[in-house]
Parts: sequence; structure tokens; C-alpha cells
Amino acid sequence: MQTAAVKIDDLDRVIHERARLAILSSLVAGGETSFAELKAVVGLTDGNLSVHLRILEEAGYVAIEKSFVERRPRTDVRATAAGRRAFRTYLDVLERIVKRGRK
Amino acid sequence: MHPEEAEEHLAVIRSAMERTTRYTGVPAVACVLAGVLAIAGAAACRAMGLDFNSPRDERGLALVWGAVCALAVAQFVALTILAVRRRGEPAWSRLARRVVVAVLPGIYVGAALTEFCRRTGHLDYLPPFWSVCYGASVLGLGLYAGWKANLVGCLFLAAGTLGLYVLKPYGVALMAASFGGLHLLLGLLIAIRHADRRSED
Repeated sequence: MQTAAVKIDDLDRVIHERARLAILSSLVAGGETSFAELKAVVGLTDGNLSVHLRILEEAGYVAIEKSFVERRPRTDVRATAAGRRAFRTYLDVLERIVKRGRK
Repeated sequence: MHPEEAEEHLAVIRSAMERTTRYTGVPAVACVLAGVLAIAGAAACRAMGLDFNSPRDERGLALVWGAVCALAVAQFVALTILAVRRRGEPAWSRLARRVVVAVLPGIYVGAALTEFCRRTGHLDYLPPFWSVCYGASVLGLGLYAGWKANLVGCLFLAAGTLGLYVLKPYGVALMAASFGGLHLLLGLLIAIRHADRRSED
């Protein structure tokens, strides 16, 4: 249990929340995505998705661009370089925890 | 963090990545209707005595298969948009655009070869060429839609190849078997997948 206690400190708290983890995973896998597509993939309401995106944006992990397409507002989201790095680091930590559990 | 919890988080990542890159917009009913239309086209050719081996039948064949193609594409696009919107997803999504780009080369080559065959009078090559080109397009769809589209794409390629070297005299039958039968098969495979998902839910 000592190992587990140490490892949880290594985990990025911003990404660790499941909804934000799903958002970042989707952005890393699919590149720039519209708000509507992201909503369909992660299955969150508009309000919840906005809240989680704001947290990720404040951490510098995603960039959000708002524009108008044919007079309609459009929001595009993409993972930043810092977001991709944080995601890889988070994955490494998870894999180490799983590997240690198997030993 | 316990290893079990870490595995759950890895599952969240896998699932989100798969949903992002997997195209599930093709509805089973659109595939089935496309198959029915192709079989109806073949039946119409039989009834009207139209044969791909007869260059005189060019106008009749163009009329029948042009109508089948137009109806199949129109219902496919309409039903796909309906199905995707019903799930609350944007119809012209980034993934849908990628699928269209993956499918287009096969369609383009098919159109070019159609014009070539028409000009040179080799109408008997049309069914196998269409089947091979369409197979390539379905394999393009398979990049995003998974093994079922890949399987059906390969079967289209096999049917087209057989058509070129063995079944060239039986163009209408090949159309019924490939565009009819294989679309029905794809529709069935997609319907089974949807039924599995519903039972999992």
C-alpha cells in the first residue's frame, strides 16, 4: 500500500477525473474536435463539458477557439503540447501502477 | 492508487479513443435497402432483356443502374444523417469527412472506368470493375468502421475479380450477388452488432 500511496501523488489531478480523462484521450486520439462532436463522444451535457473544458484550459492542457460558421457560433477544442505531455506522463504512471500490481 | 483503479482509468482512455476513431454512422437499414435496390435492378434487367454483353443495351442499362445508384446513394445519405442526428451527433463530423475522403478514390476510379468502358463498348467489364472499385471504397470505410466493412470490402474485391476472369458473361447475376447480396450481408452484420450493444446496455 506504501507504493500505491506514493504513486497517487504522481498522478495529475486535473486529468485524473474520469470525464476530463475521457476528454483529453479523445482530443489526443482525434485531433481538433468541435464541441458538439466531443460532447457526443464523452457523453456529457453542454454544462458539464464546458466546466471540465474550462478546468483543462486553465491547466493549459487544451486550447479553445470560438468562431462563427455561416452565422452560427462554433467552438473547436484541441489538446495543446502541454496537454499531450501531461497525458503521456499520466499514462506512464498508470502503466507502472498496473505492472507493479501484477508482480 | 490500486492497480484495479488504474486499470479502470486505462479502460476509460481506451473507450474514449475508440469512440473518437470508430465510425458507427452507417445504419443497417440503409445497407439492406441498397441491397434490395441492386436486386431489383438486376430483376428489371432480366425482365427488360438487358444484358451487359450487348452494347446495344447501353441506354437501358444506364437508365436502370443509374436509377439504382441514385436511389441507393440518396437513401444511404438520408438514413445515415437521420441515424446520426437521432444519436445527437453532428452528421458532417470530422470522422464523417475522413470516411468520405477514404471512400472517394474507389468511387472516382469506378466512374472513370465506367466512362472508358462506355466509350470502348466493353460494357461486359462494368459489373466486375464496379465490384472491385466499390470493394476498394468499402475497405476505405473499414479503416474507420472495423472488420465488418473490411470483410465485405474483401468479398466485393473477390466477386469483382471472379467477374473479370470467370463470370464476365453473367454481369447481371454478378450485380445481384455482389451489390445485392453483399449489401444485405453488411446490413445483417451491422444489425447484429446493434442488437449486441442493446443487449449489453
